[in-house]
Amino acid sequence: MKRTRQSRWQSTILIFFVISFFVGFLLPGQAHVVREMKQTYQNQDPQDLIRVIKDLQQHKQDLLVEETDMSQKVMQYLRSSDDTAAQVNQLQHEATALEQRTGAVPLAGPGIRITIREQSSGSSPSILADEDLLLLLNDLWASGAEVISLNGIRLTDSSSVYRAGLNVRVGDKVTSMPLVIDAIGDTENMSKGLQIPGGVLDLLNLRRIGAIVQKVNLLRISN
Amino acid sequence: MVGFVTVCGLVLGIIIGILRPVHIPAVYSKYVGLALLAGMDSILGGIKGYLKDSFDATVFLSGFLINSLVAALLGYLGDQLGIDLYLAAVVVFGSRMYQNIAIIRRVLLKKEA
Repeated sequence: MKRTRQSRWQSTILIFFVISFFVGFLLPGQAHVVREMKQTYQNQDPQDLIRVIKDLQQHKQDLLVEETDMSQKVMQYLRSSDDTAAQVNQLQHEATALEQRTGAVPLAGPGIRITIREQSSGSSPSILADEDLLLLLNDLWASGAEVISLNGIRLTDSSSVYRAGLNVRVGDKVTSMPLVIDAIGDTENMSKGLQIPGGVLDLLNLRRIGAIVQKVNLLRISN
Repeated sequence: MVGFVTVCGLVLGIIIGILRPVHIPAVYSKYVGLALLAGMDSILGGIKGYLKDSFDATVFLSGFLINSLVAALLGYLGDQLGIDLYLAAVVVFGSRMYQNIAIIRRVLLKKEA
């Protein structure tokens, strides 16, 4: 009798344990599925879905407006970058031109060489006047000379050139005759510019100042 | 003792279920949920019967199986008919669980006294 009661008690305990274990074992799986289902739209409340769709549509509109704004900004940036690149190119070009004009960089290229010889001796000397020299240099600049040197002394925009007795002063340097003027630039233009009838070469010839113009393929003028 | 074993079994089952989760298809999750509700109701009913010395293992086991099965079938039938019939099972088993818990609490309180 006692054994039967104990056996029944054990079976009762076993049944409770097995069933509760079974229920407990299924609970996490069920909770997991429910959690997953809540994340899918199929099991959402239609009203919530309508609200979600409206919110998404509004969000889409906002994003489209934002996209348009961003596209415009990108276009502006691209345009400004193009402008900037052009400005940089222009500035670099100007800087190069300024460096050439100020004599900051040595230059080499085709040009013309003018050799001027005056006759300072004899009964009727022919002296190169300041005006003649300035006229010659200005004609060279005007006919496309990019850089000019007088007896190797490079001229810049601020260079002063004038006669100092029998010598020629270029800025703070002094050089003497004969004068060799090198000019790098458009050879043909410079040559024609100087040989214009009634131009500076005719004037020099009239004063019996010898001026020989030579075209040189490669002139080097240092700074 | 039965309550302790039940809680131990439940906790052990939950732990193993978390560690090795059983895959329940989403389509059947509603019915499995109803079956689990019926199962929990049966467990509480069994504990109540044990505490009242009216426990019968056959009744308990058959109650657990049949109630779980009927609850799941009720939910399935409701879906087929377009009626929320599962609510009936939820209400019945839910209220019975409350009643069983209240009875178990009273019996335990009386025994303590």
